[in-house]
Amino acid sequence: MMITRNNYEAYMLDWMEGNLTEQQIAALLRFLDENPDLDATLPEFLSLDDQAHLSDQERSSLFFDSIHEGNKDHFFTAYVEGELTKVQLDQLEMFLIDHPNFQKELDRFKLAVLIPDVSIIYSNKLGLVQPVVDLKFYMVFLRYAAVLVLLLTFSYVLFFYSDSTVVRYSKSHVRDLKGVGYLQDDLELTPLLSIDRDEENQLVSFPKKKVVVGEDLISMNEYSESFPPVESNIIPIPELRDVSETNDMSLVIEEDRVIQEEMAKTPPVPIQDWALTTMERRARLALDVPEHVQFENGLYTAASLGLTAITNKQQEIGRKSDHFKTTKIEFAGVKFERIVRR
Amino acid sequence: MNAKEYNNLVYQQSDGLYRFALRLARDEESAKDLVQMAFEKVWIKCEEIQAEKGKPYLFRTLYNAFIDQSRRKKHDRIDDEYSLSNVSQPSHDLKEVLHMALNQLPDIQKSAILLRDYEGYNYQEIGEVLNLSESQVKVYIFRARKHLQLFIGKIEAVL
Repeated sequence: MMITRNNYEAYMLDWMEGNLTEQQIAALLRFLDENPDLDATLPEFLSLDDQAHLSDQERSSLFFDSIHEGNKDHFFTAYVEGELTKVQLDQLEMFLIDHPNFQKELDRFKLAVLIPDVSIIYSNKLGLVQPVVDLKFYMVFLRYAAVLVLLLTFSYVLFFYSDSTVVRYSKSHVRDLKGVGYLQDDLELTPLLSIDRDEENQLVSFPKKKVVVGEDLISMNEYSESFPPVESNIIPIPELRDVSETNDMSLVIEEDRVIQEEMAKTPPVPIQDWALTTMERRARLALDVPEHVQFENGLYTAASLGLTAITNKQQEIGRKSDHFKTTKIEFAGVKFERIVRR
Repeated sequence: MNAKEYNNLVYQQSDGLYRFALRLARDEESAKDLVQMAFEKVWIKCEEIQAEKGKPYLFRTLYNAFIDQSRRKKHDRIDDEYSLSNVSQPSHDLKEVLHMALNQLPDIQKSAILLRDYEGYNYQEIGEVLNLSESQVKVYIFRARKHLQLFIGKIEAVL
């Protein structure tokens, strides 16, 4: 550290106490040479005059091994600072006994201690504080938030991208529902009639609805209990229930297994009023057979049934956010709507 | 030092720092500015400062800011000589007497004794704040203490 006019006295004290190195002493002496105007009350021994000497009193003030009048201020200050050893405290006590006139001076030293006024406070602490992000809480919050995000993402994927198909049927008025048929959502479908020969090799035909669904050939037989009755070896159209008046189309989703079981029974369960659709779920439809259904040769023909080619209307509808593919199919006056989530 | 530790420093040290600044600057607005400046500097460097070093860093920053301010204002009160001429009315109140005596001390001595008595710092800690050696701190405190004592004696003589 450089010796300056602000700290040279401390260096001199260190010099007096023998705490300076040779280089430091040389630096101090150079400083004093360069600053001859410094405190004139400096003890004479610090001057550069080789002839100068200390008086006995002055010299004695440089010794601190015991207390005396020359160095009492140092001891009094050290006493207030709490720097005195036990031995020095005893020396101080003895000194005061021998010199009671200095007691008042020591008392003044004891008073020369500053006491903070605690009523003085800094009023704008809030202006100094900084916002704190509780990392611990923040990390816990992040952890839960991450789990929640994962759950939501998983649910979203599961819900929107599952293979499940929402099938929704919209009803229109049932009109001229001529028969039953199979609907295939992506093929133009025409119900078929089977033509066969009886035992007398006569051509006979009976309405046997067939449709290819994937690799399956599905057919529906009609039975004698069906209405209207046909020739015995012709399986009539199933009895149909008139529901047109009420426009109440009953739509029941049947399991494939149930339908197959019904059809496999002996005798087969009369197909009453149910038909099979292939819109992912087999559905039972209540059908209406109008009176004007014509018979041709006693047989129900496709024409007489009024079955028309089904025009599949595939229409992609939906809001982008919903990712629906809606297929609208109309069959014999009945509209079906099949909605598949993407 | 994180934000939480910094805020603890604000709540724990701002009053003491303000009292220290008030005694140095002898003006409330200047003292508040010094406190604000000191905390701002600590906040800017808070990541470099260890929490346990926050207090001495604060006081050192404030002291240096005060010295810079004083030099700019050319407010030089380096004067080892106490004088009763500045005392308009001698006071019976010891606290006022001490404050009068304190105001006559050079800034370095005033700072050292304030840190000693107000904050309870030892010589080494004061040396860290004021950039002095331990022995230099001791010298300044001894001189300050003697000045206060002499001032009290003179007041008593006047009274």
